[in-house]
Amino acid sequence: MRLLQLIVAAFVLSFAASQLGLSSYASSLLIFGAINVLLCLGFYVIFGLTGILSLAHAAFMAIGAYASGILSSRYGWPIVGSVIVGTMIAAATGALLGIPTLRLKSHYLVLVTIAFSEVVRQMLINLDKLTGGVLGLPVPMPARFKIFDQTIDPANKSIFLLICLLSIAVAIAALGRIRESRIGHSFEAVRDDELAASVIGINLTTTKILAFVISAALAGYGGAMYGHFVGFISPDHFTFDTTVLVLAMVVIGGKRSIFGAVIGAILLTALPEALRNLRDWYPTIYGVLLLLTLWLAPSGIAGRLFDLFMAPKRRAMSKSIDTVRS
Amino acid sequence: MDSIYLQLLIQGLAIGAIYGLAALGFVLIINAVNVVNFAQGEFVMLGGYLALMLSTSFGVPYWAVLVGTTIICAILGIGFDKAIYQPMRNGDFATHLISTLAAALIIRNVAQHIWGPEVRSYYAPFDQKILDFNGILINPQHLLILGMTTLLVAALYYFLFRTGLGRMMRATAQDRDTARLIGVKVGRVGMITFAMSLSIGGMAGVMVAPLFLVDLNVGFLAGLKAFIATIIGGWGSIPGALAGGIIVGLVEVFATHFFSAAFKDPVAFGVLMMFLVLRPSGIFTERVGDKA
Repeated sequence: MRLLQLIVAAFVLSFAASQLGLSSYASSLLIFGAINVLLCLGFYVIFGLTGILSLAHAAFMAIGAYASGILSSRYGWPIVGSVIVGTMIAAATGALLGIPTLRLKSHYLVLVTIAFSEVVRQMLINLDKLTGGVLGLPVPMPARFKIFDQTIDPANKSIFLLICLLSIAVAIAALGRIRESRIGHSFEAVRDDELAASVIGINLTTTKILAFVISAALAGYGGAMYGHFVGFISPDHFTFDTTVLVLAMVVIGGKRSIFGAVIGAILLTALPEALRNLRDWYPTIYGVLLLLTLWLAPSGIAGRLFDLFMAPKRRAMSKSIDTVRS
Repeated sequence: MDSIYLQLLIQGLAIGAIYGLAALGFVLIINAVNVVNFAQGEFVMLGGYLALMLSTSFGVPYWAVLVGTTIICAILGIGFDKAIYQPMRNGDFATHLISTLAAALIIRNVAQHIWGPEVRSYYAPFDQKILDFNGILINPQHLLILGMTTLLVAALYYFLFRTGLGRMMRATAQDRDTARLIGVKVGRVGMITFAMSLSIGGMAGVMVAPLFLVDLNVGFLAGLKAFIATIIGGWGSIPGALAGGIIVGLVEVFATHFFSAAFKDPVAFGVLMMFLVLRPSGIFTERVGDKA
């Protein structure tokens, strides 16, 4: 039901966007925003929901983008197939990274994920026969296809936006379901207290690996979509700064909710446009916004909104139950 | 021994000493306020730029460059404590990590605005001279780094074990709450630690500038290597940070020699993974009482 509503919303939004007569630049921006939402949802699963600070998001994006790009450009796969396989490869890498990091905590884990992401980047540079090295890899755009005698051209920006929005709708619906399921509760239990979680019978190994897999799959999918939309990928697109940007979006938006991840991604995609003439100062602006968020609203914009509008109602409803939030 | 290996050894020790110094800054902050400072590497980068600015724009001699950089970094360290650490001091591990990441972003961006994005070079004080001892070629900069590192570490040990402030620092490292109970101003100690660690990072940056060039991207990798050194050496251990730094430096230099420069970082990370699997507590495992 919820999925249906979201899909309808996706159609309505993309139709509205196509009717607005946006410039080519503005519609590209919408697509980048949508891709950022996908990336942030992935980061939300691992960091916000499971509490694992994994800074390898750019590496998973790169793996998805390059796997899909190589399959489609060098082996002539159809884009749909290459994106699916790219996403699966990213998810499998997520599981692989998850295994050695199971026993590591806080700083060790952070370092291993950064080191992993740096190794991936250097491999992309050094395996230049396959990846094109520092020069990058041209990636084909999706080909047009026919459905009910209608030719659909995914390279058309409003169609591409629709595909992205539909992916977001599916991702949000799925994450919403996961969050309210047993798996989602075990994610949150692991975040709040690992020892207690294991005592009540949650299998830490499968829980954490699953979180890594979901997060990496979303990152890989977002990376692959990015590659096919831009038409060109290079190791410079997937540096540590990319991870930090996604982290900033999720933290500023609110790391504890799906809504927060979405709002953060939209806000930090739109903000640079509002501050066009401060272009050179973006990193400083992100940095200052991050610091202000951590200082004044540690739960982010979504957390603040929740405090303002939802919390009083909920408190009135159940005074005895201590709402766990942070 | 073949002369090439001796050269590599000295080079590895020198680069390792730089990583060791950066890691030392890391460890001091970890001990004082239990924060992993991701902006540590950016101060190594800043050190190079400050040295370049002081010597080209103001034309001061080399010793004054070192002193000037140290003082500027110490002042920045106090600002760092006030702006990045103090407002979030009750936050958890991830909060501090993200706030120092934000600081690193800001520092790099501001540095780019002041000095521009292009890679610069700074070859003081030896101007790319190479010494030749009967066929063994040695870069005097390596010797300078080793000498200065020894001096700095000796000074640091004297400070930590022979002065009142140093004792306060060690007390804070061992047990923050007890230290506060017996009258140590823990906040003040934290501020001084930030100033000290970041100026050590800046000094390392001045000394390594002739080897690494003056580049905005030096900070990230230097910080990462210092982080690895800290883990290999043993979390929060001062001799461990130096030993870890030297291991990372030697591994890097020999990996470059035997494979290629492209493999130096993957090999360094491989050694890190090995340590994490085989000996997660690092070389210098310490009891709480031995900390600092």
